Amino acid sequence: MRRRFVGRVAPALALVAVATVVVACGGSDAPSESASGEKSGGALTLTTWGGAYQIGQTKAFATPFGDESGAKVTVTSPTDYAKLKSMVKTGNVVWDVVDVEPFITRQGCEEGWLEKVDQTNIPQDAFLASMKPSPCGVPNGAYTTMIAFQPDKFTGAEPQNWADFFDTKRFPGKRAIQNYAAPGPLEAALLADGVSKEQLYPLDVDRAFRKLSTIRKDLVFYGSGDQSEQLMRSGEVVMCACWASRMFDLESQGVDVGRTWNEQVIGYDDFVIPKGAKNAATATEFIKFAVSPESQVRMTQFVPWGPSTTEAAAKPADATKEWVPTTPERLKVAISTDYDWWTENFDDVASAYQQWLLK
Amino acid sequence: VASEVAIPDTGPRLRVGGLWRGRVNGWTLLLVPPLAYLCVVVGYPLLTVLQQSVTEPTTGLGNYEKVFGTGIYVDALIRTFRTSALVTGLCLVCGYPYAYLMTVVGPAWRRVLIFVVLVPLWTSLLIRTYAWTVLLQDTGLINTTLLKLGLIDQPLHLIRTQIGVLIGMSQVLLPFMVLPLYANMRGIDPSFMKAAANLGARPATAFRRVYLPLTRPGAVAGALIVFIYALGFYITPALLGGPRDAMLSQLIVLQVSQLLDFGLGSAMAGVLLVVTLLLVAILARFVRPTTGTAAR
Repeated sequence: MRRRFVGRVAPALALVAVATVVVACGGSDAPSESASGEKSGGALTLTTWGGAYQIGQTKAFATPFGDESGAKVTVTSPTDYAKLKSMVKTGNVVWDVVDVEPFITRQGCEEGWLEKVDQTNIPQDAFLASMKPSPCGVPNGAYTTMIAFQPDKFTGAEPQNWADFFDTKRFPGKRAIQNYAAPGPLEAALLADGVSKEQLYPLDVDRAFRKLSTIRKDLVFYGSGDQSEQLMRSGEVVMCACWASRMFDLESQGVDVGRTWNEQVIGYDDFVIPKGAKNAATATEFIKFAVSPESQVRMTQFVPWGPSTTEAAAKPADATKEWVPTTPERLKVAISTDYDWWTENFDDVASAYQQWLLK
Repeated sequence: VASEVAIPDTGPRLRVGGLWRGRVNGWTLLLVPPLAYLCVVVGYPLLTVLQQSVTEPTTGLGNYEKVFGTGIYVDALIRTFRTSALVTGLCLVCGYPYAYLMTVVGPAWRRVLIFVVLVPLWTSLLIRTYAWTVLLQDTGLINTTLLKLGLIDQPLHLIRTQIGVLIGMSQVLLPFMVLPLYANMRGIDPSFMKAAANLGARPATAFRRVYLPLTRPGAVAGALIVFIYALGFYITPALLGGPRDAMLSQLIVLQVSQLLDFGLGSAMAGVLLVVTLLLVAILARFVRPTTGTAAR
């Protein structure tokens, strides 16, 4: 009986196997692009988050750095913390510079899987007050979680702050928010609940979840920037706690996007070097190059990523300046993510956020 | 591993748990490269994962205690199996008549039907899932059409619900049900049904007593593939389901790549693996692949 079963099933399985192989081969690998360099100046692999952000970093940092130093720069994506940590653990480090969030910088520094970055040639006072370099990481640019909305859905008053975002009576309709804890959702909830900017940290996590729960049925959670754009483009949500760079992208596709900078929650990314990186010296040079005022301004020609240094933040390129979060007047109404607090609490709070989402 | 590699060509003396009952011939040796390959690319990493689950961050069963001690993880495990079972059922209900249709139409139509099943397989999973988003969302094609026709006042909750997950996963996995069923049905001699009719069986009886038992191997094979595949689904439930529809694999990814808790993530993977193997072993025992007249 068993033989007959096998006899009948085997060809079927073979057919499926062939189909699967075809599908598997059709799938694309992580995109990687080589960013020039004929002069012999070593090699460098930069790993970052993909999308328009990666294109921006390639054009603003990687290609010019390759031209100047002669290094052959390869840009890959996406950043994967598990991969990064495993690489160092197994001694097979193929990345030289990685774009990460600051609490990863601090965790990796403490646990010893990131290199200390030599910052003797990087002026430490050049950075914005809320974006300080740390021993293992240098801030390379800011992003923001801001309130964006569909202007045609609100003919009278428009949402001005997080309290409005949470007011489903005055502003009915679904709103999108990220399914990832830091930074953004909890800060937004507490500000909406009346906590002042100055007393925001340490975050009252329980209070934040209580506030979030009040509008839970009107919340749509997005897991990627693409998804947030899709929700806004299709009119699935009337409002969004979204990343400015994504709303810029949406607007450049011809979608009308309303916005307020008030109470925008600013976060930033660091460039770090994995422990045992093969081209650590070139990596250090690259980081210095990337945070120079010229490179930082050049980045804003391509994507509205906020420069991390004061000089560059004051003069973003015309192409994106309507959406750059770190201009002086926008910083005045902004909230800066407290990464010291998040480093201490990320694991617990991120887990709690996931558990709240599942409940 | 050693037992598979060290197959002597002296014949049937070597018996590993009755596996090599017959004479080991040259053809059997063809199995060695794929098995060795699997040991390296699947076996070894899997063992690493299992090892991590009891050594990170400290040695012991702490991670497993955490998995079974946390309500949402147990819920996610149950939900994962329930969703997979429902998807398997849906695939069987849709795939069985489809595969049958493939066996009764002419060659030209059969080619069309095979093509229709295979084309989605050649499209990226992500694109197919996004396509479902466009169809199922509140402002999507289905809801806007129904609203315009005046059949509903409020959009139906299709996306970000269990329904969305089931629809999306079933469509993605349907080929894995149809293909084994079709391969099975193609081999069934149509004269069996005629014989049953000759002997006085009505069509329904003939189907139930003759055709259905004959197709059981295909159905079992299809169901097993779909079920096991479904257990590891990640992208489709993430995009079409709500946060409460998360499957265990989503939580594993979260533990590993966001919280860097390799130990807990590995323990979840270990639990999923063991429960799956147990379930498959039990199913394989109870759902005996029988054929033809020996069905009862």
